[in-house]
Amino acid sequence: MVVQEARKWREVLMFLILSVFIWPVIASGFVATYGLAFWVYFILSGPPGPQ
Amino acid sequence: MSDTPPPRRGFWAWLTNNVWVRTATRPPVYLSLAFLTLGGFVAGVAFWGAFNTALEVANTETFCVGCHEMRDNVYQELQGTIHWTNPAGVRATCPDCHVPHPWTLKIARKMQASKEVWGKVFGIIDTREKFLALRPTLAAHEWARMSANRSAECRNCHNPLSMDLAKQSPQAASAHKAQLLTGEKSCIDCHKGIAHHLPETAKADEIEGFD
Ligand code: HEC
Ligand code: HEC
Ligand code: HEC
Repeated sequence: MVVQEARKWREVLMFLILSVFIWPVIASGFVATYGLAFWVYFILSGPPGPQ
Repeated sequence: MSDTPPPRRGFWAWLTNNVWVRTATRPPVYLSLAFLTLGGFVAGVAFWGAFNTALEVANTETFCVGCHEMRDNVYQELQGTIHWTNPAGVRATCPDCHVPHPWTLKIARKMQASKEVWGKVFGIIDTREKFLALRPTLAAHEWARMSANRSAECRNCHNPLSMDLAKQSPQAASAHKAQLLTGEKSCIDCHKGIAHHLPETAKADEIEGFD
């Protein structure tokens, strides 16, 4: 019983850590890397043309 | 996969045996699929909202002139130009002219600002003198950028095809007809220094088409 309670608590806590911290950080990091890649690309290729 | 993997050593062993890592990487026992997908859905919506709110805050003039480098130099100069007050009451803010609208280009511009944070931390233009000394370089960057995108930011507000040439000064109408409407040049090629003072090294008479 005590073991089950501990596991339940861990699952809920891990769910919260993943959804409010880990995934948001990964998603932001992905966007930042994407932007950084284009910035570096524009430094090399010159500024982008008309959209 | 059994519940008791063969004992391993080092970091990898610590990682795979860690109770939290195991909780995160195994199917849950107590949380239903419905709860997990709903939770992921709600967290996703919240994240997207927060992300866009942050992006919008970083795209306001208040944010741009939050540092004295911008507030004491270019911001002062903007006040008194046609883009600060005009008969139509339209106010062009810093991001209207300096931040592209397409998402990828906007994010790239935001990341470019990391260089500006660097400059702020190390005081690259923290005095008027340093700013004036670097201004030719900074202005040249914006000219090159706007020249390349055919003054896309200007055209977000100004549409050459909507210009009533008959109502413009003869000089303006002829310049626009000859070189703007033909696509030969874009706004920035002729209209430099419309929002801030020109760099000392680029006086108006050296710039083609500038009045
Ligand atoms: C937020 C919209 C906006 C943006 C962006 C914008 N403008 Fe304007 N611009 C205006 C408005 C509004 C006026 C005033 C129109 C009027 O009342 O005659 C104006 C006026 C002007 C004038 C007329 C100056 C005069 O003395 O009559 C020029 C030249 C001009 N803009 C060039 C530019 C250039 C070049 C850019 C890009 C770097 C640009 N504008 C970006 C809104 C904008
Ligand atoms: C070939 C050079 C050239 C290009 C390209 C050009 N202009 Fe002009 N523009 C002029 C000249 C020259 C004048 C007259 C300047 C004056 O009278 O002070 C002028 C005047 C203007 C005026 C004031 C018109 C009036 O008489 O009230 C506006 C607004 C303007 N330009 C906007 C733009 C915008 C926006 C673009 C880009 C879409 C653009 N111009 C592109 C040369 C150019
Ligand atoms: C109407 C369009 C317009 C607006 C609004 C505008 N800028 Fe600019 N900015 C330009 C252009 C065009 C240049 C390129 C240099 C030039 O022609 O003066 C420039 C250049 C600059 C530079 C390079 C240094 C220099 O003086 O050339 C900085 C920094 C700058 N702008 C910051 C800002 C900030 C901060 C704001 C808001 C307070 C702002 N700009 C508002 C059009 C604009």
